[in-house]
Amino acid sequence: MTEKANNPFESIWAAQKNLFDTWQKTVSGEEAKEADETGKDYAKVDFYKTWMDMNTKLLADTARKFGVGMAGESFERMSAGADTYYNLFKFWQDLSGKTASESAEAVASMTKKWQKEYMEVLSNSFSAYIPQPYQVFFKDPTDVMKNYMDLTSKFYQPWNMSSDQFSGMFDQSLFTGSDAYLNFAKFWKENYDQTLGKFIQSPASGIGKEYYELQMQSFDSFMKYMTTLGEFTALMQKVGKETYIDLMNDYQSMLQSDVQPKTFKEFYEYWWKKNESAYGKLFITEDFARLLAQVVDAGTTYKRKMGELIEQQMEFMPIPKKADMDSLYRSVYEMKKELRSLRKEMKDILEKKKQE
Amino acid sequence: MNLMRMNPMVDVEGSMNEVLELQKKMIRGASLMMEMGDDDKVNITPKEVVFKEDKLKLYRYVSNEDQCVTPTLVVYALVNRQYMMDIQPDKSVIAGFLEKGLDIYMIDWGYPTQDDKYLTMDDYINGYIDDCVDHIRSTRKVDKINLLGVCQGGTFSVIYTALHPEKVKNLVTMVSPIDFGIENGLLFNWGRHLNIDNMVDTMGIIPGSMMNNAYMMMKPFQLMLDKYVSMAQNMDDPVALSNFLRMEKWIFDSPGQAGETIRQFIKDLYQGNKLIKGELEIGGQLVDLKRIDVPLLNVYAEYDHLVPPESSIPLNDYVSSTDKETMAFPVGHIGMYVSSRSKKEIVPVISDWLLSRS
Repeated sequence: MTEKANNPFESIWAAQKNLFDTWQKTVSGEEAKEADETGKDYAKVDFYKTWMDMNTKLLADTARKFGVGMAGESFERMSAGADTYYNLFKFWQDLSGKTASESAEAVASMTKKWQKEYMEVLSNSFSAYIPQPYQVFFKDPTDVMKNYMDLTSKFYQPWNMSSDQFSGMFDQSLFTGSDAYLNFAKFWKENYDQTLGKFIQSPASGIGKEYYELQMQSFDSFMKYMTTLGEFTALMQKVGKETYIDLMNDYQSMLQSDVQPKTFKEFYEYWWKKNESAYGKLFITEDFARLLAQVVDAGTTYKRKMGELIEQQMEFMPIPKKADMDSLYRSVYEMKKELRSLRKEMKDILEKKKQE
Repeated sequence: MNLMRMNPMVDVEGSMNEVLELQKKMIRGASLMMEMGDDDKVNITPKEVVFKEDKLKLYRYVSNEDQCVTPTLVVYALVNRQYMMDIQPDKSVIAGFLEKGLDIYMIDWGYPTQDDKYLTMDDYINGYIDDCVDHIRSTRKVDKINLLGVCQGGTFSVIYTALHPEKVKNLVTMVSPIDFGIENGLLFNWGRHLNIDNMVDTMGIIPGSMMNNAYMMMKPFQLMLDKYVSMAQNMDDPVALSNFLRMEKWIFDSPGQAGETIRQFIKDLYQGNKLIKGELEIGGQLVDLKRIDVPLLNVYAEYDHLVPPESSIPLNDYVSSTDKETMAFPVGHIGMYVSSRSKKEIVPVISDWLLSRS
């Protein structure tokens, strides 16, 4: 009889389960009532969140290393979903607590506090599905735009003639939401096309002409991709914010008629369906379809220009270029096609011969 | 914040317990995942490779039942993998067809690589599909076979039948896009503005992950959040977990798309809607839907958000078949194959229709 393998993970799972059982007793039932009477601060829930984040990461890392097939990736997606679920729970706690019993000022203060944090919850829900290099661009386009502004002010000072108008619009976009940001992004793009963009796209001369032009083209494609992407993410955030305000108003009305979700699960169902419906209405519009196509096109152009630049840089190395490989693929394709055609001809000829 | 001072009409304690129970289920589920071996339930209906060409494999499924004289070739879409029709024994549409007595062949398109970037729709339809049809006809000694096309495979099957009506006995299309000029399909709206030339010239093979991102974006909250939250709540159920992981594997197992094929598919169909206009050319030949005069069964899903019914239904108006009908089922696009209805209701209807005409 073989001995049972000494599986350290069984102890980890048992310890985890005990932990959650302990937390469950702590935040509800007798201990909670006692804490309320003594007026203890219930920041334990936030401490629990920190502990949960650490454990979720441990489980996700373990599942990724040892999971079979899709297990690791799926567990990470489930962890991301559970994380969003928990963050939404915190939002719902505030919403249910403050809107029912507190003053209008407290409600307004809560609304303002959650306006930013809510958008983080929303973007964190989906950022895990975006390719790693692009995730940062979906978190907060205003942060990304600020970096671009720093870059342009350092290196392209002569171009920054309209900086007064710019900085005013930029400040407005930070504080008044996505409409102002959309206007800022459009104005920035127009300015760029008419000034620095013209300089970037102008033909070069001299011995390094080709390489210099490639560099400028790749930079230009990068700028266009960033501005288009910024416009896209601002639009997505705008819908998220509008839905948030809608949700707050809706919840107030539901409270007054006592038809509000009674449990967090009910609230979660209501929340995600409301958001799905709002984004669905945006996605079906012609304007969104055009903008999405522009983002994809700008990203594709950027990829192509970067590829050409890298190929130019690697020209001295014994590595075939894309054009070399494409030529080879084309030759193979043509040969296969001819072979197929000849095979069919032969088959027809043989069949005719059989019949004779 | 004091939990006990929340709205008295809200079940705080119950809600907190729900959240904690979710975490406990995830712990148990992670433990289950670690114990899972290779999936031994997917794509297991016995079959043999009867024909190969480049990356294509043609399978014939093995059956113990008395089989229909006319073989049926299943033409799956290029955008996903065909084993979804044999996802697990209790939901296998293929196994269902075999039990009903159909003789099933299926094309496995394989995974295109960069050397396939120049493959055109003509290569797929007049090349690969025609070669498979001819192979079946010669080995089974029949003049005509049944064609069953799934989604984009249905579009290809329709085009094939219009170009080679003499080789097709009966045609079944399932959730197949035919009219691409509809207003209420997200993919159709989005495809209309795509600069596919730039994409194909840059990438050659359009990555499967890119297609997946587009599908998920159509229902972001449902497909990227709720699906996983709901699953986490059942994660301690080994059967539910393994079924879920099996579907997940299929969903993300998307092949790349041959550049020239998707270029024409987007430009001529999504953007030009040339098929029903009678302007589509494949291999230099005009595709005339009126040349389809074989019995036609056009199956669509009522809750299909990928290929809305309005895109599938019109096919029957453009063919000259006299024996033709549409059939709707209250399922979604994928539900047509993996829901509880697929084996119980959908398979018998299609099988009986084919058997009575074979």
